[in-house]
Amino acid sequence: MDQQRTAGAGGVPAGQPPDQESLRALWQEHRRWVAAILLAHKPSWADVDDLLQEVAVAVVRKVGDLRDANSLKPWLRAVAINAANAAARGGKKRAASLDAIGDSVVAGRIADGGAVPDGPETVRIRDEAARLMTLAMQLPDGYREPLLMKAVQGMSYREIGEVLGLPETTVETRIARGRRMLRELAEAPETAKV
Amino acid sequence: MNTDPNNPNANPSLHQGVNDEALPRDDADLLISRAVDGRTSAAEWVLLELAAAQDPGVWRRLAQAHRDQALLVKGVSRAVDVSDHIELPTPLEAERHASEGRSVLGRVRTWGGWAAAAMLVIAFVMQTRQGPSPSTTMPQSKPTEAGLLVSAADAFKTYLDKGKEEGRVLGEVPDQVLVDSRPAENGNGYDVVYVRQVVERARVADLYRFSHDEAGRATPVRLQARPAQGSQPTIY
Repeated sequence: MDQQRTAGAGGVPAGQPPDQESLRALWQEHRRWVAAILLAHKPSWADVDDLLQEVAVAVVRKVGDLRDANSLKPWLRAVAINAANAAARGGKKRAASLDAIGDSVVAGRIADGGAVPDGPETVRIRDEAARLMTLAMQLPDGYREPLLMKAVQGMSYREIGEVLGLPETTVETRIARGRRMLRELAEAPETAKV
Repeated sequence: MNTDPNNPNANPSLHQGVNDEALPRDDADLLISRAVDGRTSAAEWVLLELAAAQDPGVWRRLAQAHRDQALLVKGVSRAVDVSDHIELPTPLEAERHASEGRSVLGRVRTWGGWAAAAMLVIAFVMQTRQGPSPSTTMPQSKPTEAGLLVSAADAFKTYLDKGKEEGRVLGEVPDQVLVDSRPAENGNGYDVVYVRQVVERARVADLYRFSHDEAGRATPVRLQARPAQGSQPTIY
C-alpha cells in the first residue's frame, strides 16, 4: 500500500513529491469532470476557468499528501466545491457590477466585428442549450451534479459513482430522477419557474 | 459541510434532500433514462413498449429526454471545454499564488480567441546592444500638426498610425480584456479597468521558450529558426 498510486497510468505515488509529468497527466485525465463539478456548484457570475485555476493550484500543492488512491477523485471534488463556495462567499459584492457590465462588453465586442455571427439554427440550439442549463441549475445539488457529469462526454455511471462516493445504481437512480425533474421544469409554465 | 480540501478523507456530502430509493425495474423514467444512455437491454425494451402501450406519452417523453440530453451535452461542453486550456502552474507559481491570495491567477477575464494565444509562453530576448525591446518601450509621443497632443486617445491613435507606417504595429486586438469593474462613486455608470492589446512585430536575434528541468525550475531553451519554403520563417 505504501506505493499505491492515485490515478492509474497518470498517477502520483502516495506520500512522495509528484513529478511534473505525472501531475500533468493526472490533470489532463481529470480536469474536464472537475470543470463539470465547478459548473454545478459555482455562483452564476463566476467563470469556470478562474475557479479551475484555483483547483490546479491545489493539485500542485497538495496532491502529494494524499494517502489513499481511492481518495483522489473525492478530494478533487472537495477542492472544486470549496473553490466554488469560496467564490460565492468572496464575490457577492463584485457580482452585481460584473453581471451588469458583462453583457454590454461582450455585445460591444461583437458589434465591433470581433466575432463571426452564427447562423440562426446554431443560435437557436445554443439558446435552447442555455435555457436548459439554466433550468438544470434549479435542480437540487444531489441531482444536478450527476446529471451535469453525465453530460461530460465519455463519463460512465461507475466513474461518476467514484467521484460522488455512491454506488453505480444510486447514480443511475439520481440521473433518472434528475432527468424527469428537468423535463417537468421545462414543461412547466414560465411563472412556475424560479 | 465537510469540504476540507486538505483532508484526503473528506468527501463532502451534498446528498441531503435526495431520494435514493431505488426505482422499480419497470419504472418508465428509469427505462427512458437507460435508453438515453444506450444501456437498455432487450428485456427492458419490452418493458418500455408495455409502458408505452398503457401510456403513449412515454414515447414523447423518451424523445424529449434524448433532446434534453443532447442540449445538456452541448451546454456543458461550452463551459467545460475551457478546461482544455487550463494547465497546471509550476510549483513556484502555485506557492506564490497561495501566499498572495487570489490576485495572481484568475484575475483577468478574457473573451475571444486571444486567450489561447496568450498561453504561448514564448519570450523574446533582444540583444543588449540593440537597446530595450520595442514592446516594452512606451511609444514616443510626437506632436500633431498643431504641435500638441490633445488627449491620450489622440496620442494612442498617433502611435498606432505611426507604428503601422513603420511596420512595427500590425493592429489592435478587437477583444478587450476586463480586469476589474465597480460602480462609479457618483453612482453614474461603472468604472471599468481593461486591457487593450496591440500586436507588434519586431525582429529579434534569438528566441527562447521556457521549459522546465528535472527539478521543476524554469529554464530558457533557445529555438532554432530558419526560413521556410515561403517567405515566412518557421520555428523549430
